[in-house]
Amino acid sequence: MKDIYILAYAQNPIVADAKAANEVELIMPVVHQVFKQTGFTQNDIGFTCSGSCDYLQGAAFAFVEGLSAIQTNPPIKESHVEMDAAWALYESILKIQMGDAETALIYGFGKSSPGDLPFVSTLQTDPYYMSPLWPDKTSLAALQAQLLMNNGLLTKKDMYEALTQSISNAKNNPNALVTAMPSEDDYLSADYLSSPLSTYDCAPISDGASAMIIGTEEAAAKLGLQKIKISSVHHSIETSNFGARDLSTSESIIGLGKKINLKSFNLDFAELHTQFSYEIPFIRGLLDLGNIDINLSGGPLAGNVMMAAGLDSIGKSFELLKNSDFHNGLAHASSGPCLQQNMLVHLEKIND
Amino acid sequence: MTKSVDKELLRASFKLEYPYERSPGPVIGKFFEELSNEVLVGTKNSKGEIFVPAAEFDPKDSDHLSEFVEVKKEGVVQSYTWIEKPRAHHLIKESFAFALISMDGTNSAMLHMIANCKEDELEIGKRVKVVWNEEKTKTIRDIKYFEIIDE
Amino acid sequence: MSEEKKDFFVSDISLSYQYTAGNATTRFLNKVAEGKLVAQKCPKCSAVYVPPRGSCPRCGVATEEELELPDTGAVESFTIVHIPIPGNPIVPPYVSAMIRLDGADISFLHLIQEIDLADIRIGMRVQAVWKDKSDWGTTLENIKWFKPTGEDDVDPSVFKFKE
Ligand SMILES: [Zn+2]
Repeated sequence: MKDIYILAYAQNPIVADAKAANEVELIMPVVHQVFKQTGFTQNDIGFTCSGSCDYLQGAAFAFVEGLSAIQTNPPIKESHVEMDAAWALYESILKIQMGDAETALIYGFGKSSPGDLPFVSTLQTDPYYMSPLWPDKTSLAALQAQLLMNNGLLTKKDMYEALTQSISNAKNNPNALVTAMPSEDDYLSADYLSSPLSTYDCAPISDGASAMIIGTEEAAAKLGLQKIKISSVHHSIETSNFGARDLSTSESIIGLGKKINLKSFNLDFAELHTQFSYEIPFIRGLLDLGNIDINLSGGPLAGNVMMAAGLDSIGKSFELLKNSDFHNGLAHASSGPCLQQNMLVHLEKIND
Repeated sequence: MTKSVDKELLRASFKLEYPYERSPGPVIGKFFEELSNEVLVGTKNSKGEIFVPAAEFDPKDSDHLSEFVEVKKEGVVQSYTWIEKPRAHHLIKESFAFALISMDGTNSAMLHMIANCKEDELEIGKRVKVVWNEEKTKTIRDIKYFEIIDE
Repeated sequence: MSEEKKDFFVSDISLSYQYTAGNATTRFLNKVAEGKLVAQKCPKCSAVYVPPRGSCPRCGVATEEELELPDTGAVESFTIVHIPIPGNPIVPPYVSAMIRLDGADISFLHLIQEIDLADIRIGMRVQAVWKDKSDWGTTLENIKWFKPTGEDDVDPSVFKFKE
């Protein structure tokens, strides 16, 4: 296995409504920024891979149009996942491991403002037994939160603490979509959208894009930058038979924690792709994270660009390692209802 | 596309529709066929575990499932979420709950709705029964919703 | 399976959006509403795009410079449509053509009318036929169709994308 390093990462300011901006206009600034950070041009990139979902903005084949943000002359090796760009990163890692590329450009974009996101997400569910009943994203998450509360694994106070910590941490990220900090009374008395979740518990609808460049040891050495290594990355998915899952736990997340040997290094922080407040204490418990700082960037509760927010967990971990004394970071990405699919990434600062 | 409402932004309302004809296949098709007869069936694996709604594959070991068994039209709430104010696409226009319901004798749960009750009457472990839609479409909507069993 | 048995159900996927045109396309369409066709030029390879989408897809850079093009051009390719398309009010047979405006490096799809179908050919010079000004909006439908100008054909080699 080759050692693979993150070389650059950039994120657009997350906004609630990107107004007229189309996919090209969202992607181009972040791609140009990662090129600037590395001094690369598209000619230095061996593989390009993106993550997006056309349903979000309702534009069929927006992901093909998005490619207009990238130099494609001469033609490039390119791929796309209809998933969070964290999985575009995964595909890129495989491509490099295969020896087919030395470097990769990854980008993810999402424009959720034109549609009704909680119901757009319904289309992700089983088309025979689930989507005809129109369960929205918030309601599916609420089923899990309710179960955890019933089992004594979660309280509204835990959720409130996770929320306020996220909003307070968002000051560390100039690109965060700043949301108001509710008082505990406001929080506890807020009407539920789907009990026990109120608007406060849900990540805000967000528009934006992010990009990343990764490369082999050789590519990293040439740049002479602080080396941030992707030491371990694994992902797994649970059954799509929603009613057959045990929502009181996550076999996927617990299994991934073992696979990346979470207990074998001194973890400094975790960036989790948590789109609902309850997921923060839930995953903290599943991975036995103790008092580790979670989402120092504010995380998705302070801006949640669909199809980029998972890549952002990894990108924000990279930035944090680069700009602090921390050595080991954990990044998480997820997909599907109630954390059905997950990815854990161990990022490590390498001192030569 | 309808005419633009915002000249500066050129924002246009737009409806995306996919009226696909979905073929349910032999297992899901049988489940729907029986629903239209007001009968609830599940599929059974080699360990005797029963999945309702009928699963085509064992969610654990992916074994193909083809043995059908009829189950009772009553079950237990595994989890629920109360929706005080239904939103855009929700099928029930008054307050209702989405719920995961494990039908008696089965080893999985079914996502469906619970109506005709108040929020404080609902709890995990509550027993509920099927209420049928009069008009049958051979879809999961042949179950109109569930309601609490008075005990 | 019995023959009359319906073996499918119709899914009712239906989602509402407030679609936006994109910054570059918005600028373009607002000019179309004034009867002008304003293209955008790549700062690197100087390719001219109409309609513009805000970038040069060959170079991956923003196309900020704008220039107005005439409403004349040539047929880069065409097809004669014989099959009625649901929801399309135009009665077949009719010509759908890729039209390269003079000064542009890409073509776009539009109709050609006021022509004997047997005469349509690649390289034919055409000009836009605009709707009555009072009916103009932010749409390329302001142009009803293109019609032949009767000028000499252009050599199809001009359609080669500039290097
Ligand atoms: Zn160019």
